This record gives sequence, structure tokens and C-alpha cells, in this order.
Amino acid sequence: MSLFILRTFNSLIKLLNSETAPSQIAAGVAFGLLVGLTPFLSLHNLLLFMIVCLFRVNFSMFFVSLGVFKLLAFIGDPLFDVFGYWLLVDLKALRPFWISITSGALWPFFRFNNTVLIGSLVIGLILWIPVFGGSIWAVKTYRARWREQMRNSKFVKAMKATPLYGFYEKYQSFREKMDILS
Amino acid sequence: MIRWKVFVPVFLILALIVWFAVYRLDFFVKGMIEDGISSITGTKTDITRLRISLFDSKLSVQKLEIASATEPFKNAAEFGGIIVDFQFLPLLEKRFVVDEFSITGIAWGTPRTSSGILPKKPVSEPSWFSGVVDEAMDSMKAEFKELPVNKLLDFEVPDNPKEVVERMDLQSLAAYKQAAFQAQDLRSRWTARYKDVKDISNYKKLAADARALGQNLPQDPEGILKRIESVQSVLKQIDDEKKKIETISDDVSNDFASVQKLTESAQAAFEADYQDAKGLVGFNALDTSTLTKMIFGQQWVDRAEAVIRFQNSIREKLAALSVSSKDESIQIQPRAKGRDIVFVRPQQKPSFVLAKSDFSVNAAAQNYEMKLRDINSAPKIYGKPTTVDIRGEFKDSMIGSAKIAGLWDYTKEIPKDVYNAEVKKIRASDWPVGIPKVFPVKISSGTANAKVDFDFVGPLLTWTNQVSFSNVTWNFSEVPKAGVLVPILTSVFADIKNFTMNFKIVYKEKKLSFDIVSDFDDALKKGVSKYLDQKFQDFQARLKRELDQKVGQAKDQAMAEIGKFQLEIKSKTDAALAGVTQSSKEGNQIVAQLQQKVKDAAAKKASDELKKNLPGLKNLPKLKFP
Repeated sequence: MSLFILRTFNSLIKLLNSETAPSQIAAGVAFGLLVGLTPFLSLHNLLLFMIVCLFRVNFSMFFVSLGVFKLLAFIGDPLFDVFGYWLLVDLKALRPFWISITSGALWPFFRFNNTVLIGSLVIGLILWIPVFGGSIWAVKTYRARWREQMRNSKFVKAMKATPLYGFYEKYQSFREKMDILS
Repeated sequence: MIRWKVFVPVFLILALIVWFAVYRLDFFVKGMIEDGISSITGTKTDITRLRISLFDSKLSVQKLEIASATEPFKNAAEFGGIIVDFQFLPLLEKRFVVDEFSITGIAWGTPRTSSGILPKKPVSEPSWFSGVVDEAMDSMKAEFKELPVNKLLDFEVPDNPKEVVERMDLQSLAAYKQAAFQAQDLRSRWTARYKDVKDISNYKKLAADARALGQNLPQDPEGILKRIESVQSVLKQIDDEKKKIETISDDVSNDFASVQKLTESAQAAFEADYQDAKGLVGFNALDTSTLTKMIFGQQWVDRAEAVIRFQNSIREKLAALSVSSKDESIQIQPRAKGRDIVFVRPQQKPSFVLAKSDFSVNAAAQNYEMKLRDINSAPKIYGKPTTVDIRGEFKDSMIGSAKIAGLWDYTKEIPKDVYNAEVKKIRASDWPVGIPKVFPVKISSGTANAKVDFDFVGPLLTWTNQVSFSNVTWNFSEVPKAGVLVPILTSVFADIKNFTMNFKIVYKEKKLSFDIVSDFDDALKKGVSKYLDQKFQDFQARLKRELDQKVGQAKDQAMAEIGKFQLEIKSKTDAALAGVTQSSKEGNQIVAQLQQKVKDAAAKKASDELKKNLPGLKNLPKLKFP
């Protein structure tokens, strides 16, 4: 578990320090938000996953973001339920729209008539653009201002000095060798 | 921008996922059905093979076994083959519409190769309705605990009538004492009042005065008229006394009647006391309807509890299909996460419909026929109630035939569950009876026919069962020969062969009531009374004597006081009234005689005067005075 966290953290730092396009990283965060907030086993998530696979969305950031937002979703579910109910029931103007996307062939499988699903999906979609834009800005800002400071920071150095990190480096070099051999 | 290298693998992976899902659909559905049935029965459910053909829109199940809850290596039911013909297109709309559903090869109690018992699940939180049912069942059970079971054992033939009489609150004793007191009180009051009443000799003297005035009358009319006035004066005194005595006589008669009435009430109270005394030592002390409740009720209540709980769980499951909302255009279905909002609109259809299913089994020993109609997942949208009609005939079984009709109507705000059943030739020996430990009688042979009506509309439940037993023989092998009543009951039961029981359970305003009405009560009461009367004949005679003795003194005192009242007051009044009436009568007669005489004297005087003043006149007509 510690190794996994360390590996993820290392990958994240490496990713941020790499030359990967900020938009790819930001897309990973934004799509992770969308999938993470909504109930995982939903049909729309399959489509989102296809989009993540087909377009140049950063996988690492996508999964990290998914994990973080999934944790937030546990807390946010009651709010999504109330918001979803308001959208589906109280907002009468949208009633024909909801009826059209919850009936007919295949549509019912998306379960858009579920309060938590629609509530979280709509909140996710609303947050998507700000999160995407904000992430681009954050990555760019990080790279411009804090990348070098981060590399030379006491925290990173202290972490690299830990026996666990030494073990991780050995494991990483072993894997690289195995990859070359294979 | 697009990862073209990833496109093909992703597409392939997705295609693989879809293919695997479709290929393994049979496996998933099989597991779902097995788990679904097991969650209801609490035992293992096995399907040997399940195949879904989307091309033919058909689901076929080969050998479905539902394990028995009591015997691990036996199946409660086994179905050889099940075929479900469904519609394909509604599946795309997430709807499962079954055109036809058929079952073949139904068998009961078949052997299993592995144990069918599942580990017990933790008990889920009871719903609000379960709580209400619990409360009602508890109160009904408490009522049963209060039934005087011990009276059966404690009942004894008494020996000492004095003890019985001593512990009674005798109404007759009080009534006789009251009668005596009233008679005494009235007598003393009347004695005081009688001081104003003249002695009878006074009336006789007045009558003699009147008679004397009627004697030695003068010849002239004026003289006679003066006598008449004197006699009328005496007569007035007599009449005044007569009126007075008449009033007194009426009052005395009324008082005497009231005292007599009290005595009659006391006599009636004595009879009532005697009956009560007999009741205290006889079978009357034990209410027969209570006895029937004790013998037939407890087991029935236990079964009723199981049925009500089962029905309650059905209602909760069906009611959960649609939670009512203030907004009639939507239905809310609770889910593990959030709520599904179903928009009610014209021509909407439920996601699951089994419109019609008929199947029957014809075997040597058993014939079944079952008709299921309109099973669906959204009753309010579907608009039609679900019905089930089962008919069965059995040979060498605990029942001969059964007809059951069930209706679950959840299409409106008030849910309605109705069951009507007729079961014939029930093996009476399987019918639970008896009072554990005290009177554990059993039925050893005979048959019973039962008619059941179960109506559960909204919160009101009415459940009536009419069971007619015939040719019943009883098994007393476990009945202890303790006390007096138990052996008597044993003898009486042996003579009761045919009877009808009406069990009624009503659940209203959160209260559950249970009642049994039966002609068994009458037969039981008659039989037991006959036995007890024989046993108590001598004792009852002694009891009456004891009661007589106890009440006798008060009774004698009351009668003596009434006698005194009658003698001293009533007789005296009657005599005075008779005397004064006689005197008045005599006085009136004297007045009448004198009036006649005055008329005669006046006529004579007038005639003499005419003759004297007119001597020439002859043959004068006789003068008559009015």
C-alpha cells in the first residue's frame, strides 16, 4: 500500500515536472472529476472511459483525480440526491427533456432518472470547464514557479533519503531491466 | 489529438466486454434467479441449466430445485422445466414483458444430493408496520395468557356449602333486611298517624244517633224537616270521617304494596343468590367460549401470527414498488443510491409485466391448476390488480382439494389484499388443538372443510375462517387424569363428533382482536353441565338449605313485620273504613226515609186543608209533592 502511494506520488511529481501538455493533465483531472462524482457502475461512465482512452487524456492524472473525487462523492451524495430531485421533479420546465431522455430504446439503461446520478452528473458537467481551465492554469503556474523549488525542497530530499524510497528505486530499476529484456 | 493507436484496442476490448456479457448472460441471470428465490425462501435454490435465447426471445430453465427449510437433503419443490417467452424490443427500453410462462414437472419433497440449508441472515430492522403488528400480536397473546387455564386443574367438587355461602355477598339477605326495616318503620309511622283516627265505636254511635232521630217522628212536615236536618248533620260528620279514612286506607294500601314488592324482590334475590351459589361451584364458573378459545385458540393464534407476518412482508415489498408522492405525475422508487423518479405519462408501461401464466400438473396423486394474471413492477402505472387462482386435488394427502383466489390491488392509494380459499377434506388429525400440559387432547381421525376470507384493505384487516369438522374422534392418551373437570371434559369430548368453528381476527386502529364462535361451546356446556349436575345434585340441595338458613332469619323477621303491619294497620284501617262506610250508608237510608215521610205528611196536610175549606168538592185527585 505504501509502495503504491509512493509510486503514485512519484508518478504525479514526475508528470508535473515532465513536458506533458498541461491540457492533457487538466483533461485527466476534469474527466476524473466527472467519473468520480457520479456512481461508478453507470453506462455513461463507459462512454467517458472510451473518450479518455481515445483522446489524449493523461491516464495517471485521470485515475488520481477519479480516486480523489470518488472520496468526495461519498460525502456529496446527499447533496446530489437533493439537487437531482430538484432537477427532475421541481424544475417543471425540464420535465419534457427528462421524459425524452429516460424513455425510448436504450436510454433507460443510462438511469438519468436517478436523483444521485443526474445530480452528480450535472454538478460534474458544470464544474468540468472551470476544473479543466483551472488545472491548465495550475500546471502552468507550478511549472513556471515551483518546479525547481519542488525539486530542491527539503521535503523531496528527505523523502528520497528514506529506506522505502531506496527500495522503490531498486524496484523501479528492476522493472525497467525486465522491460528491456522482454 | 486522438490516440488512433488506442482506438482499435479499445474498440476490441469493448466488443470483448459486450460479447462476454452476452455470452455470460445466462450465468448472471441464473445467479440472479437463484439468489432472488433464496432471499425469499431462506434456503438454497439450484438451477441445473438456464439458457437465454435473445434470437427466439426465450428463457428456458432446466430443473429448478428449491431446498426444504426443515429437511436439509430434501427439496421443498422441484420444477422440471420452466419456459419464459418474452418480448425482445421492450428489453431495449429496460422492460421485461413476458408473453407466456409455463412450468412442467412439478414435484414436492424430492431428494437432494447436498444440504439446502443456508446460514441464517441477520434480522433486518423491522419496519413501522412490523412494530404495529408486533404490538397487536403481543396484546392478543397477553389476552390468551389471561385465560383461566389453571381453573381446569384447580376445579374441585366442593364439600362444605357453608364455605360457599360465607364467601358470597348475598343480595337476598340485604333485601329481606330492607323489607323488614321498611315494614317496621311504616308500622311505627302509621301507629302515630292512627291517633287522629276515631275509634269504630264512634261511627257506630253516630249511626245510632241517626237511627234515633228517625224514630218518633212528629206528624207535621216542618217537624220532620227539622229532623232531616239533624240527621244530615250527623251524616256529614260520618262522611267527613269516611273521606279521611278512605285517604288513609289508600296510603296504607300503597305502603303495604311497596313492602310486599320489597318482599317479592327479596325472594327473587334469593333465587338469584342460589343460582350464583350454584355457579360458584358448577361449570358456570368456567365460560365455555373461553374454554373453546383455550382449546382451539393458542395454536390458531400462532399460525395467524405467521400468516399476518407473511402478508405484512408481501405488502411491504409490493408497497415499495411505488412510493406515493404529492405530485401525481411522478412516482418515486427508493434505490440503494438516491431515488428513481418515474414520470407518469399516458401509455406508459411498467418495466416488468407478466400478463398471463397458466400451468397445471396432472399426476396420479396430485392435480394442480394455477392461473396468474397481471404480475407487474408498477401497479399504479399498470392499472390492473394482480390475481392468482389455484385449484388442486390430492389423493392420500393432508387435504383433499383446495381452491384459492388471491388479489393484490396496489393500483390505488389504498392497498388491498384479498384471499378467498376453500379447502375440503382436511385431515382433522393435523388440526392443532388442546391446552398444553393441562388438556393436551388431539384429534385422531375425522375430516374438516374450511372456508377462509382474508380482507386487508388499507390498515383494516378482517380474517374469518369457518371450519366444519365431521366424524371426529379424539385422542386422550396424553391428557392427565388430574382434577375433576379434566376427566369430565374427556368424557364429554368423546361424544362430540361434528361441530363448526368460526375464527375471526380483526385488525383495526392498531388493535388486533381474536374471537372464536362455535356450536362446540353449546355441546361442551350441555355435556359438562349434565355431568356436573349429577355430581352436584346432593350438594346443591345442601347449598339451598344453607342459604335458607343464612337468609331465613332476615326473611322471617321481614315476614313478621309485614304480618304485624297487616294486622295492626291494614286490618284496622279496613275495619274503620268498613264501619264508617256502613254508618254512612245507614245515615243516607234514614235521610231518604225521612224525606219520603215529609212528602207524605205534607200531602196529607194539604188534602186535609182543602177538604176543610172546600166541603162541596168531591173526588179530588190525590196530591203528589215532588
